[in-house]
Amino acid sequence: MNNQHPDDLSRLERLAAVLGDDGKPMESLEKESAEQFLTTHHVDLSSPKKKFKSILDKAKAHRRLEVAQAKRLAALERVKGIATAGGEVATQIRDRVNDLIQRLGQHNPGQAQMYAREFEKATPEDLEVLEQDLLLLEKGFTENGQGDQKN
Amino acid sequence: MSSFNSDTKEQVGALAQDRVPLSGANLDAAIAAMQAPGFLEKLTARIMKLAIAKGFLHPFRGNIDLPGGGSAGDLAVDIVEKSLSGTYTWDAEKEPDFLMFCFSRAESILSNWLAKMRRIKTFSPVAGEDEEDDQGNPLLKASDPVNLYEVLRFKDGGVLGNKLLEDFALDLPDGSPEQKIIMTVFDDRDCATRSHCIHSLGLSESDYDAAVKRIKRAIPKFFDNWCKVNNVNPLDRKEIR
Repeated sequence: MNNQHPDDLSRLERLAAVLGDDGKPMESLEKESAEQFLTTHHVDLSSPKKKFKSILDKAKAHRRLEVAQAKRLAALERVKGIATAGGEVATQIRDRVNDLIQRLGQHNPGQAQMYAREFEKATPEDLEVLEQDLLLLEKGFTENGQGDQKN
Repeated sequence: MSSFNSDTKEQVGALAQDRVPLSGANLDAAIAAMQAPGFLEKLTARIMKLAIAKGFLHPFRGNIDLPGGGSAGDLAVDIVEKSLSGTYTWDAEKEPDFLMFCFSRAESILSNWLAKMRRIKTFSPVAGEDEEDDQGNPLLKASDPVNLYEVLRFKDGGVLGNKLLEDFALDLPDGSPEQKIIMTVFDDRDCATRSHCIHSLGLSESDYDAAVKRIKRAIPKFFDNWCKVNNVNPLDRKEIR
């Protein structure tokens, strides 16, 4: 029923415990038997119940705020992720275009310089166009080079 | 409530630095437990049964005097509030049942209060005898200015309570079941439950229960007379001799 050894109780306390023991183990207290027990002991829970309800309502409100905040943070993270992914793609294109311009510079420095100036102010969409142009140019150099070798 | 507040202040002070309000899944679990039918009733009833087992039932008045004068319901609500606020830390892995955790807090509060009261050496109900002691003497802050049951159970290790019990046993009919119960409680340190007494005395449950009823009827009147004989008068706040 409890962890306290009867040795800890004084004689008068032992009498008090005996007089109050109804013989029903504490573990058996379910809602109905608890209510009956409280009624038997003339316990009025009306005031504690009001405070308990107030505490419960506050706890539920707090939890709702927690959930709402978590959802908001998750949404922010998703937006950040999309922006980051877009940024990574743009970086990859930029790196490829840069490499293409470097290679063009080995064949035609003047043209490479012109593309380099475009590269500096290019938007992500411009970079895609630049990349296509440079790939075509490189292809042309490669085919001409092979043709020259053949000739 | 001052004794209760001062008693829990130590616990609160120790935990204040690490106070983390309940949140997330644990808060969900606590809310679910609190919304279960009869949560407050079960917690309050268990606190009362625990208090009875620890000797908090006033044997002369029949009510339960908890530390500081609050009711069992007040204590139950206070424990729940402090558990949610993080003053009491609920480790759901150690104790998944929030109700049982609240119950364990109640047990700790009552046990700590008892241990503290047993350490108090002086119990002077005389006003102004010692100003410094008056400030720290929980007896003077109790809702009942002189809670004689507290004095009888704690003063000098319960010596006065023992005397009262002895005198009460002598006052009962010789050889009666109620006298045997009182003497068994007096002599047997393990006799603090109904089941132990019944087994120890070899009484039937109905005879035992009838005897307990007679004790409950007789003890208030005996106590009043005993106080008069021993010159104990709560209204005059005279020192118990």
